[in-house]
Amino acid sequence: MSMAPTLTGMTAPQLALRLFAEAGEATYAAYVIPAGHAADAIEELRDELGSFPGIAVAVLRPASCAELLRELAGTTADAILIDAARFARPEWLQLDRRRSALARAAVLVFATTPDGFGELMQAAPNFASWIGALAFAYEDPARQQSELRARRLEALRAWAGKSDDDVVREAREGRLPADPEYAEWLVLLGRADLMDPQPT
Amino acid sequence: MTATAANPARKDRLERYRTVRARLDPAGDPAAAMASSYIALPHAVSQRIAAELALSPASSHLLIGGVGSGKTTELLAVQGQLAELDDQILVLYLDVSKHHDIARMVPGAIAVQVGLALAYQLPGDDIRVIVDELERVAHGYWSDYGAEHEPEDVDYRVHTPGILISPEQVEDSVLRALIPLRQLLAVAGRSHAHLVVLLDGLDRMSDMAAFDQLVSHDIKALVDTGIGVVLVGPLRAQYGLDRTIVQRFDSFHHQPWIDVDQSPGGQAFLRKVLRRRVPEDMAGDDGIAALVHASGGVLRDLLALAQAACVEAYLGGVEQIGEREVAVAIDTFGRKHLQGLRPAELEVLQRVRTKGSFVHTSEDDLALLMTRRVLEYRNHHVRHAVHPTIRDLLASLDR
Amino acid sequence: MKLARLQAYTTARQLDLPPRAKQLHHLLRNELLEASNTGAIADTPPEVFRRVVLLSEPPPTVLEELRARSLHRHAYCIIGGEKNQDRDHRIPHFRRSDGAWFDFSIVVREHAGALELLAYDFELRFPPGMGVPFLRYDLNFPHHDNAERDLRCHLHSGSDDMLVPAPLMTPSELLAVFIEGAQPAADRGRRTPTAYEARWYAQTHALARR
Repeated sequence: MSMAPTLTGMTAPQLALRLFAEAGEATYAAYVIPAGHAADAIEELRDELGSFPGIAVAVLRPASCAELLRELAGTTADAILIDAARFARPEWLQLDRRRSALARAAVLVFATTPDGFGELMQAAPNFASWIGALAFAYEDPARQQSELRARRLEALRAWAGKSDDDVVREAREGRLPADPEYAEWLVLLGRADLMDPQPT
Repeated sequence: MTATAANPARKDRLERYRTVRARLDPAGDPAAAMASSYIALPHAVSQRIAAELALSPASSHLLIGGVGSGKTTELLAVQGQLAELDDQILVLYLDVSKHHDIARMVPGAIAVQVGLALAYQLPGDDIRVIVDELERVAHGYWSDYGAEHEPEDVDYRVHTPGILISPEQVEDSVLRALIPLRQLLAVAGRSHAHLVVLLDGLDRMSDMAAFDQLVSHDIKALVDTGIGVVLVGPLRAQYGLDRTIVQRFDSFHHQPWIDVDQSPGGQAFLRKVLRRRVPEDMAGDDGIAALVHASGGVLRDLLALAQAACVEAYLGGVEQIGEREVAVAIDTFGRKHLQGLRPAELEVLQRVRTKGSFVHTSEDDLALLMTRRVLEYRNHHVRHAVHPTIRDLLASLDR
Repeated sequence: MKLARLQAYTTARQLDLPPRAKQLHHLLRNELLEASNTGAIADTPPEVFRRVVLLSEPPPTVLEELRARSLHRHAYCIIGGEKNQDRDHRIPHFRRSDGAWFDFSIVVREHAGALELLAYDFELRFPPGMGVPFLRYDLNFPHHDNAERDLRCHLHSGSDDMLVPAPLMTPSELLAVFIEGAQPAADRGRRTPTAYEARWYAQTHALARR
């Protein structure tokens, strides 16, 4: 028999959009992130959630459940991202018992590892029921960005009938037209410097 | 004038979604939902409890039910119904776990919380002395748990318990809380003939020995004082050797999950619950029916699935929850619900899925019930099934 | 050179832009999200999020070399929809509720704590009968050629070959023009082309076929 199916994948912007729709009510979510990537992913999510008007975001990094509850008591943001990567079974057990102390009209996102989430599901069934269907696996948008960049360069080459080298050479020689398409082309090649007046 | 300016009342989809979302609120405060959304199940547990307490206000009741089955809602319903049945009964709802780690419950802890809850209901300066005593008793209990209080905030006394706790010490702990509580009862007696306390939160206790001790001391002491008690207890109290705890109560009540596959009445009830919250222009009857079946009769899961389907409709740009939105909600929920399981547990689930057979002989088996991977129905007979959201996912693993 | 003073006037305008490219990206994304929520555009919220993308200069591995050669310029592209030079309706774009559709790209640079708008192109395409086939607002990047400079900021109204001066606008203003502004009046139905227009299009088409 195969292993259990994975969680639905979601990039930080996609998750932020979903959570923004839930803002204002008691919402509990889990974001499952590979070990070692939690800090970056949380910052990414903080950035995305904070981009919406009227959403104040806080990040907590508690070492224990008790520390979390103490810090939560003093936090009043609309969205609270909790780095729970260090939480193991005892923390989830305690969180389940103290679930009532979490209650608030805000979005709480627990960022944890795959193993940590597995422990949550086994040790904290009451809290897990509050999460409902809001559990997702982190997806890195870097690959999509890279593909998009490649597609745009391809489209620019087809439009102009030129190569990247042609464009760079013409820009150096001051012969590159000033169309916005060429500006984008130079940026995607990392040669925005060639938009500056070139020495003759 | 542009076309846009001519149509200033263009509806905001996000606001429309949020209005429905606020009514669903699976993780929200049940008390807030009572007034607008509560629908009583036929033969609801709350009706039986309220009727029994009205006849015998100092009786004790144990309420057990699975996660998300609506126990807190039923307690609040008891509170409302008792108030209508007899205005001489003062009813207090108390979540014991809210300000205290229930893994560290000691004899007297419940009694002192009941005393404090009662004190906050009673007017007058003459009870101030009693409240001070209760707070000293409480802090003595809680002073072991430094995480709960900042030393500079309270009159902090460090209590170092001995290694052995004699039976006399246990009795003494309860008595320390009971003395001020009895004084408060006397004050409450000027306006009410009886006090009933609804104790929530202990369903999450895993230490059955500690739970048994609380029942034997605190609950017994409360009932002996003439206070009616409804206590929400751990699910495991109805299985195996722990069943003896049930006999310490005058009545045992089970808050069931609703057998959506075999109970037309149950299906109708859940459709009504959802329809009270989700207007027709957001979900047609087919969508409602699909959500009811996917919930497995677990009320909280019903609301969570509906919420997920609603957000899919918003994000998908459609005006109504349809087949696609329900399917996505079920898939996302089910994937989450299967996380953390070991191969042996998956095998048990496959057996329940294909044969309906489930015999809980181990802690792992009980955990499958407590985590709602296996649902137990007690309609006319006991029946087991896997949670509907994991059914198809399990089937795909088995190929 | 005759238009130099006009161009200086339009491009000298001080634009109200956030200081970081990421902030501008979020601002535009939120404006399109609001348009989606009110139904002004037919794109769903996830489609908006997928289509409005901030692309920076190449990845760190390449960027290190650029930095080492002082060629790194903190420049970014903010794109809305896929590149669509052939105006192919099948390529992802934004859709207005009346059938008009658009995409855009913006080039900015972060410098001295402020955001500099280097170039943009915003193109809105209309269904038949809605006045013109397309409107495109272009801002060319700064150029040494005077002739190019005079028309750095311009509008193409239905023709890639004809351009007229246009005011420099912020991306938010351009979006507002595209989403709410460039629409036929509600109290006027679509006009049938005048005899002059019909003759002009027929003769233009005949010229193209030769």
